[in-house]
Amino acid sequence: MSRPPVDDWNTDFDHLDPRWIENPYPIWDGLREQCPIAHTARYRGVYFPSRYEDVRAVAYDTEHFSSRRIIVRETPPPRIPAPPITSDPPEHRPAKNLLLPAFTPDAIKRHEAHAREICGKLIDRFADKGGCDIAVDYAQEIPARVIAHMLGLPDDEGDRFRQWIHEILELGITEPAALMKALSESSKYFQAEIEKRRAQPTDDLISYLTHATIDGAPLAEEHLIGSIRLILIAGIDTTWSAIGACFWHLAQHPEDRQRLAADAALVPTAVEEFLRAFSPVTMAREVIKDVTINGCPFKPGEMVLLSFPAANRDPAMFPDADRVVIDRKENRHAAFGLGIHRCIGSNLARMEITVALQEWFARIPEFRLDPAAKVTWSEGTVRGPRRLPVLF
Amino acid sequence: MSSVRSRSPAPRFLPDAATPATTVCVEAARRSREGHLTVRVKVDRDRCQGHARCAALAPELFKLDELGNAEEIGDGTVPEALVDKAYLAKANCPELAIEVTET
Repeated sequence: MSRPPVDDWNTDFDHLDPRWIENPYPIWDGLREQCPIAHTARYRGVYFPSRYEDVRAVAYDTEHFSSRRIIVRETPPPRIPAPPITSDPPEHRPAKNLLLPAFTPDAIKRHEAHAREICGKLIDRFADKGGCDIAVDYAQEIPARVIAHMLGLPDDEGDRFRQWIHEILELGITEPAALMKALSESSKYFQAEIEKRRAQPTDDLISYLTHATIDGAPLAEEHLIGSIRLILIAGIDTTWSAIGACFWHLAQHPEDRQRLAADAALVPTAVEEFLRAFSPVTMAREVIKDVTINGCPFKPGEMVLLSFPAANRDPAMFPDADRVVIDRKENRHAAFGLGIHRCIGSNLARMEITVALQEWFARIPEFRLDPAAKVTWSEGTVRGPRRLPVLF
Repeated sequence: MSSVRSRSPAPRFLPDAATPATTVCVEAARRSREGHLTVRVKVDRDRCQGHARCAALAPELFKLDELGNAEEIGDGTVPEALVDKAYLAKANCPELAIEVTET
């Protein structure tokens, strides 16, 4: 794929530009100063608000900004419903309320022991090897196994799930064929799982959704499959990225590493700060009605990249926004979104990240980046390390 | 003119965060100790989206319903020892759904 390089971020940005993928923060800082709502003609027209207040305004405005498309792609595919993330009011609320009880802090607490066991077994594999790739050997495996268990899927199919994620969220931005292949394969896979549970209900999320009703009616097939696909994808990619980013920072900051190794109780506070500073998820919205925000007109049919990561680096909202302050007391970060689409898995993600750090520190308090290896980052909607080789 | 730069200076969005919660709460706790005021918390249920920060930071003052959305416990009266926590919860709510009142 070849796109012309970016000369001017204000008027021609490209979120797949290698510089944006490698280190977007200085680019966003520049935009916030010079052009707080940037625009590009690429991808058929996309806006990029970089200030917290503007991101918040778009997130709250479901009248002018629709969630029916949440990923910026070169060629808009046919609608791919994944309720509730792709739902607008009034359909959004019942679709979300159906899922919420399974993701409250109390409900998630019941999966914590399992998550700790998963982390322990992963660490067993490399603890005596003097090093590992944290992104590959640890971060990517934890959420994949936990969410597979919640859904009632085998916990050793992570490679299959991550292939779909790669095709839907990365390749699929520019290659419609990869997107359609992953959608059709995953739909077929979920269909078979649904059929099993129609015959014999089980105690898992797929079974729960298969037998759930909204206003007395079972979910339409498209809704059911879309929700399952959403839970699987959003449950893996995001937390994998978040866990990796925590370790990327800690591998380079001995003082933070030592504090957390010595004080497991500080971990939850530090997790909030890592979520702020390295928020993985950028959503998108489709402009559906003319509207002006902060002096900038938005044209219907174009997209908005809703960058919670950029909002969370806004110095107007966060003192020392570019510094990672692991004991930051006031932290109204928007890593899990703002408004009605608040991430349904936020409590699950927090638990997994906290457990991943605590279990690691209990076994491997000292580690550093492998100077001979390169850290690589994902591209597109979710940002996190995909290769993170460390030595210990 | 292809830029869509904002044409007016952006109104600053500083939701109560302009006053550091830690400063406010130390003062409030002092006054509360001297018996001059009653501190109460209240969750705006329309604003709350279930981030659950308040229940994590001040479980003595906030609880979550079956969907994970927050409400204050009882009538929201904050014991003197928990005034700090009340302001901490407020300062960490991304939806600005928590009100702390002093009467």
